[in-house]
Amino acid sequence: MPVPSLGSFEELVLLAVCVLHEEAYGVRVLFEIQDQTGRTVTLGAVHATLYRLQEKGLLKSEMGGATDTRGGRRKRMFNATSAGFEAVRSSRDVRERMWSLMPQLKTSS
Amino acid sequence: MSQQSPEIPRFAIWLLESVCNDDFLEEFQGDLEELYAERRNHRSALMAQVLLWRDVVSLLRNRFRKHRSTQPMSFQPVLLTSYFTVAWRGILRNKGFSFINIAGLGAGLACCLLIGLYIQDELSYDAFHENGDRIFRVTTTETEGGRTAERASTYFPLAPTLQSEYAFVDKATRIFPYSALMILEDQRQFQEDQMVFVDSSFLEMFSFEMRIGESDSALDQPFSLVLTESAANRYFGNQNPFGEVVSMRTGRDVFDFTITGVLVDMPANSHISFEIAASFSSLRTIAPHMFHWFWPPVYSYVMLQDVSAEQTLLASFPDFQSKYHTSLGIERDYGLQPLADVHLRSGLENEMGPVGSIRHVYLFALVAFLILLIGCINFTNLSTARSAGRAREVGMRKTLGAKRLQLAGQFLSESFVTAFVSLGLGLILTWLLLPLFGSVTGKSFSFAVLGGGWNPVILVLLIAMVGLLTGSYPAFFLSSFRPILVLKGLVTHRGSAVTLIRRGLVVFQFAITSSLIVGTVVIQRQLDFLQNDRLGFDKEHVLVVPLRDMDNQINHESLKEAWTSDPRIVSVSASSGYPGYLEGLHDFIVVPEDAKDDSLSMLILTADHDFAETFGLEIVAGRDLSEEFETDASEGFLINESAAKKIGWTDPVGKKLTLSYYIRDHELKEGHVVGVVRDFQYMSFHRALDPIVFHVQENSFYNDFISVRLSGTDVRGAIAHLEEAWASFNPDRPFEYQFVDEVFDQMYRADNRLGKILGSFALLAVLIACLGLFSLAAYTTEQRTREIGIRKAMGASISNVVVLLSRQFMTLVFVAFMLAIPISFFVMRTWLDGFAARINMGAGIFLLSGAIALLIGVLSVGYQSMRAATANPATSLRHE
Repeated sequence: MPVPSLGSFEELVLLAVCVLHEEAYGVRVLFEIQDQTGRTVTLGAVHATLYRLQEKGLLKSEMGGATDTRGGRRKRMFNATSAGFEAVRSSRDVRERMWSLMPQLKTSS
Repeated sequence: MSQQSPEIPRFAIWLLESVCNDDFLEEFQGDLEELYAERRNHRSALMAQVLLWRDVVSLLRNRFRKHRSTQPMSFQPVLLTSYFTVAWRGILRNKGFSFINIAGLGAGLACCLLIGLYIQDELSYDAFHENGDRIFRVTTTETEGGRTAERASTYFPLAPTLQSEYAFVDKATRIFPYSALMILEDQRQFQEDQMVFVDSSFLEMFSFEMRIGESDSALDQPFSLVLTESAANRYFGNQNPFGEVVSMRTGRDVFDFTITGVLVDMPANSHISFEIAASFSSLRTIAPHMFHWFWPPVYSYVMLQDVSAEQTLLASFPDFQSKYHTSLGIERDYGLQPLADVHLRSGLENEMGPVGSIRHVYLFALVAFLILLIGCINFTNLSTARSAGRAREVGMRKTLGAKRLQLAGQFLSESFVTAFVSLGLGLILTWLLLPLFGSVTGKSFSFAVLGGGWNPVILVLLIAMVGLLTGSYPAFFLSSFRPILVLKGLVTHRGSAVTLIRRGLVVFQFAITSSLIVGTVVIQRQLDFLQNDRLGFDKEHVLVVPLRDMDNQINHESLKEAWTSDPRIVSVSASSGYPGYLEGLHDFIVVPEDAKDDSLSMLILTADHDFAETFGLEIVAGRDLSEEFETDASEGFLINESAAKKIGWTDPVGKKLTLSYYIRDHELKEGHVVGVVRDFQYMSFHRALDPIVFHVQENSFYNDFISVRLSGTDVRGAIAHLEEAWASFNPDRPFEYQFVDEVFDQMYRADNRLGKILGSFALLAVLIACLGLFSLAAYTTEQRTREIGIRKAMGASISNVVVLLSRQFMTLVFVAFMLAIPISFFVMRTWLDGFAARINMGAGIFLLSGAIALLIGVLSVGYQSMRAATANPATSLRHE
């Protein structure tokens, strides 16, 4: 199965889900991305990406249990599928390969 | 979903619930709440709210929508072109329908364009001066003896005093309108009434372009003269006039002026307008007696260092007055008027020339908008009326997979195409009507202006607005049909809501039309009333000759004798003014016997014996001033009714009066009242009638005019006789005269114009609305063809059917007129309030207008009804 292509924000979301391991849902993903990148992210963007990744088969989800912090509402927990892991890994591989090919030059401004 | 934390606004929850699919709601609300709680830990409540709303909005995307469309909407160019092709075919197929839409909208647009050009011209007045925002006109308010006058003009010393007194007054200039006889070296003479004296800074303050000469120095020296190109052309042809000498004759004296510059002719949209400007410093020699604080004949303009200095200057006026005016004993106040306000927002006495009115500008803009609206309503109404015919088309398109938005786009594009074709027609109509419109409004317009500046953008926006306005309701309505129902033919007479809206629009349309009809009738009546009934004197066959020389004024008796000898001349009277001439009345103090006030300010008209006879004034009590009574000249007064009322006399004849007036010094004239004349209209109708006291003043420079009443037979011969006698009496002056009725016509030109313009636009509005009603009636009767056939077959008479068909429309027209009565009543009453004397808006006016409106309704609906009613039922029944 060919690995679906990843957009840069999709990659961030997917990585965040992997990092959060079993604890990934909308708000946590949002905070993770904000903490790591310093970017301001809207909830809608995060959710839209989560569901898109799910449609691509890179994430799977199920409704979790109720908690007090959310007024008793349940949350949808996301987990990476193996295809999802594969996708981030292969994207990292591509990057590393290309970095290793980079000549040892000082970057000129 | 019942649990809800107080921090998340109800509206946000409702929004999410109504937009988002239920599957997501719980998750989203939970997330929002958690996010909010988290953010509240280290942010303000406000900031957290703002961020919350941003997240809410971000969740409102198609992906989470309730009825998420599976295919994205496609607006490919191919589809767009197909829209327009289909729209165009539709227009061609329904020629009658399209004609009415396009004609109505086109005429409405032409109105808008014409009125737009007019408004643009009115608003462009005095906008071309580079420093215009810093230039202000100084105005005077003077209260004397109970009469307050707000004047555009001020006193001779004011402008230079302001400039030397206050550092923030950058420049100041005066404009003194003058008329004089100009004599060239070759002895050609020109009587110049478009002449002014201005200070040397005038050409620097105002941006009038100079063809020859320097604007900063041309008027520095006394006896310098600047001509406009057209005056230069008149005097010297193509020769360069620079350095030439012309003589100016005023009174007995002749002064030589040197031409130091030539100006480009004044633009038409400038309130300052002249042909010759002479240096103000010349007046020190010509008329040194005018440099005082008593008489306000000059217009003063100041250029401030920056706009904010306006308040500073206004605040300084009280100090200024206590410094310069305390000894004068007159209550006086100054004001500042921005240059941009002079043309449209003045409302002052003593204007330099005719000014416009911002109220008329608003009124015209409103009329233009209303006419366009009437055209738009035609389109909307006809489109929905035809819906039955188009329902199948809609059903077919929907069955073939057209989405609602695409259908709406289809119908909108039809209205856009119609709007654009109408624009073409509107532009052609505008081009054709522009010369006519120019002559009615007294302006000259250039069609090319429409293509300049922001105008093309405005035009496109206007068309887009018209397209949206006309198309959105039909688009919304037609695209809502359910395909299965329409294909089964079940939607032909659908929903009362649509009929209600259609009727509402017809009522609205006719309410506007009826209001315009009422407005037109009121304006015509009022103008008639003012110019004929209300006058109070007989303006026909009276001509006025200006006596421009002091010698003539003092020795006019011999001329008068020479003139009265002719039988074609009824009477002759010299005076300081005449009805319709805005000056000539002088404010003086009157001390009446045993009155409530012991001194009153009155308007004094210096008038010879026979003034009342010459102008056909009606004597209410006593008699006219007459030569038969020798004492009349030295101690006789004639007063009008208003004066008697102001003094408080019920029986004025024989009462004593003392007049304190000014010749070369203050003088007192004691005398008694010999007669009372009925009030007559001396000044503009917009003003109340003034109290006037007449007295004779022999051998005085106050007698600026001689008025002559002709018998009315052989007018040409009589004038020839006058001219002949004039020439022997005064050989080096051309004979000039003006008929008083023409003067009056000129004075009310603005009002007459308003009447004409509004009248023609009202006619057009009526025409467009009729077109709409006509075709609407055509469609509805067509739909009922079979019904009528059956009715006739069952024995209904023609009149039954006509009444049946017309009743509905006539009710609408009637309701519309009822609505129009209060609206037009209030609008027209505000207009009438601008006149001192006005007609009553009685039932007569409304009955007449109502009859016109109903007649129009009958004509447009009746034809259709008659046609349907007289049709043979056999053919009707075979219909469809």
